[in-house]
Amino acid sequence: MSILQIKNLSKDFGGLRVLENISFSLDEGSVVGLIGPNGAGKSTLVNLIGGGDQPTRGEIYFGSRRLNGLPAWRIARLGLARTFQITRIFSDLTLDDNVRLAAWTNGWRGKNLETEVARLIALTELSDKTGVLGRDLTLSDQKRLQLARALALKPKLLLLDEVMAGLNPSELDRAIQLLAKLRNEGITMLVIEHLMRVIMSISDRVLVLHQGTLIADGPPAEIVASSQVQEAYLGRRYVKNRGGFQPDEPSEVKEGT
Amino acid sequence: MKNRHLVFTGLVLLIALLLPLLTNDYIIQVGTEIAMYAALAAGWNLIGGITGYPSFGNVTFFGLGAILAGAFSVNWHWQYGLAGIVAVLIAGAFGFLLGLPILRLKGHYFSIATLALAQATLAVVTNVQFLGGGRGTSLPLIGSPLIFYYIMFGIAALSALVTYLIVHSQYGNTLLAIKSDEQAAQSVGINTVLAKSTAFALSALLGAMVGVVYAIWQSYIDPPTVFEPGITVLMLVMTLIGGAGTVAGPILGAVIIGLLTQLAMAFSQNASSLILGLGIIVVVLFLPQGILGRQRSGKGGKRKGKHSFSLRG
Ligand SMILES: Nc1ncnc2c1ncn2[C@@H]1O[C@H](COP(=O)(O)OP(=O)(O)O)[C@@H](O)[C@H]1O
Ligand SMILES: [Mg+2]
Repeated sequence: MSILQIKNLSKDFGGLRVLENISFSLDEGSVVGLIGPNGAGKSTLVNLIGGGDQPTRGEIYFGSRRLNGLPAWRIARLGLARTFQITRIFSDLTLDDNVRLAAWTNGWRGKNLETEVARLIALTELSDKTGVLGRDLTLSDQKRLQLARALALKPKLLLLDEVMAGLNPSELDRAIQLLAKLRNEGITMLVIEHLMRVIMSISDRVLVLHQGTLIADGPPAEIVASSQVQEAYLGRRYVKNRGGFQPDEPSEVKEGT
Repeated sequence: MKNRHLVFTGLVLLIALLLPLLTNDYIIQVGTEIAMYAALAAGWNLIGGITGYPSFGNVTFFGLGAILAGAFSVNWHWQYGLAGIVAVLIAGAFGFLLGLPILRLKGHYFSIATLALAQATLAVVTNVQFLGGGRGTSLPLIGSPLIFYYIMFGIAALSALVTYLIVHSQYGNTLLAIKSDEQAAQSVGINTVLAKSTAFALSALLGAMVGVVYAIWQSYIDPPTVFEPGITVLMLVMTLIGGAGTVAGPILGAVIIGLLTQLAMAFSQNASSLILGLGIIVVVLFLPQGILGRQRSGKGGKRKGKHSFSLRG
């Protein structure tokens, strides 16, 4: 059963076409990686799904519900939560009030509210930051807080835009474990991440976006092996480590076309 | 901290209630004005301080309260109390409905739109005979200066109570979240348009309440006076000086500006605006968050126990 369906989605910013005729659907309970070089349109796609912006053309369905035209807050209430690549937290609220407000808005009350807030803060390893104002949190804490806040929505679908950027190796391992745990709870996830190690270890399936078009869609192993993907995104270094890639092949994304 | 709040609140109440025992007409007059501006500033704080939408048109609601209450009581011979209640409700509804489109604007655009709102409302009022037209409306002389002092004081206390309840509720956190980042607020399911318009409506209700009482206190309503943009500027300045977003800030700001203005006027009329200007400059330079506001200092601090002065919130 598919939980999210994207049909012929395009997005222009002024004269610039950022997404071109994207179609895919996400199976309920799956974890799908979304990769592609900087500027490929990944964040724009997440923003369209979350209702932060409207598509120029095409349709988005969440279950049987058409999301086009719905304000972002309504989409959130339907159980579709997201994080922002450039963190957006409530800087005038404490860390726990950030999470508490999200949970309260989505129906948690009284003792259950407090239990849930404490659980989410512990889950994202932020317990020692309780009471710290949003504005005083480090970037890494802000990323975790965004995740805790998104989980307070009890989401069916979670869109994660580079939540793991900037984590050290041991933090990364724990973050991967956390995502595995969330998947076991049945949360469907679309995960944007640059680190192939992360994508390979958590995804059932990988989508590759390149200059606004979806150029590949398949199991992680197949994606890594695809020469088109290697050229467009993975570049010389990653492939070289694996062996079997011409060193003189351009590693940068080509301009145009 | 709770105890200090209580002691402070008790002291303010005591002083305010005992003030009339001095039975000096001048002091009662000044006290009434300070209470009036405290209530107006507290109302402004809901939208401008807590929600982060600096309105330059809040005098609209003060003026509407005064004009509508006057019109209903003079033209339709309603009891002034009833006329006042209806006027306040209309102004509140006007604030809510107007908020829906106007609060989509951000920053300077919002400020300019609200400034235009006050001027547009004045233009309409001066062209509608029912609302007094260009001549203004005279109201019967009722009550005593002392009664108006207590009524204005009551509205100021109510404004502070409303602010206190909001600041300590999830609704208050909702407004703070909107002030921090509206997109993030939407992303957790907050209907930001509804929350903001409600704050604007509350601000309008309080402003209109003051306007209703002001009209009967003065027993004459002159449209250009009750829609004077300077009144909004005073609400804003008092709130910023006292501490935007705090409960006691607008009241403290009103007391400070009110007393300074009286002091200055003792010397010369012109000196009062000079003192006001200097006061604003001093605050902006040395206390950008206001006297009771949380001054932004180093990183990584906890919320509690970090500030020497803790009457905020
Ligand atoms: N609001 C916007 N206005 C104009 N151009 C934008 C806007 N947002 C993104 N873009 C452009 O769209 C392209 C895709 O950006 P983005 O979705 O952030 O890519 P990614 O997340 O894959 O790095 C970039 O060229 C970017 O400059
Ligand atoms: Mg991005």
